[in-house]
Amino acid sequence: MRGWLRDVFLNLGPSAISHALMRLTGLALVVYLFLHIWTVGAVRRTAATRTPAESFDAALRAYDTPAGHLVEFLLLACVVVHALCGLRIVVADWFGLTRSQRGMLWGVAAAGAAILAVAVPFFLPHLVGR
Amino acid sequence: MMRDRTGGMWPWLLQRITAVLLVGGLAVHFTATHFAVERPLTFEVVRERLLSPAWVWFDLLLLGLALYHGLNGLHGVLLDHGIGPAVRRGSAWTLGALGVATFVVGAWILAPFAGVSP
Repeated sequence: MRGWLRDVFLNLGPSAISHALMRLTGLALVVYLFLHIWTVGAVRRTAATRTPAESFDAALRAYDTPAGHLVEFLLLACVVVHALCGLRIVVADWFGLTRSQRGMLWGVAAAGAAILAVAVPFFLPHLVGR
Repeated sequence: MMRDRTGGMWPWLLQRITAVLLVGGLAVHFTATHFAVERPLTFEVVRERLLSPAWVWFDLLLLGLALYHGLNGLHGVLLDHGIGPAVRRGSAWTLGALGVATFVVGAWILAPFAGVSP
């Protein structure tokens, strides 16, 4: 862990930042995947006084708060960053474009910023509590 | 001597293939659960979609892809931090078992939505 951090900082630049972001968002997404399965699993953790449907709906409603939607936005950001950085690696590898990897990095940054900027208006009403 | 199967080409290639499939799959999953349906998302709304077997297969496929990609990625991180061959074999089997178990639980969770109740 400390060795990894040192490597990132010694090589600090766009590529090292991309690598660090890839790793951090990847770990965050694994955590989210299990949280997601757990949440949907509310349908199987039904109290005697409820139907499975009510149990599921209540579990989803619990996230319908400004903090819940902030986490949702962070989730989207993680997915977008991880997907774009990952696609850059796949494209560089499979299409022999390693020489263009630096340019693609700026493309990734621009595409990521654009996607998240488009998403903000959808989230904003929920973040300020309607 | 047993060959070390916990690194090498296949996990690497499958990580790339699942990556590309997940980009498309997640876009569909996201659209199906946030835009193509009435809101708020409820049990009934999800059940309506999962009445179609194609959607059940899609969700199961996405679950499998996400688990493989996530846990294989996690294993890659462990390898990066220099775990030895013995630990490596153990960690590969552990993460593999965790993935299979979680897939079974995930399918079990999906069943009520699909109107199946094992």
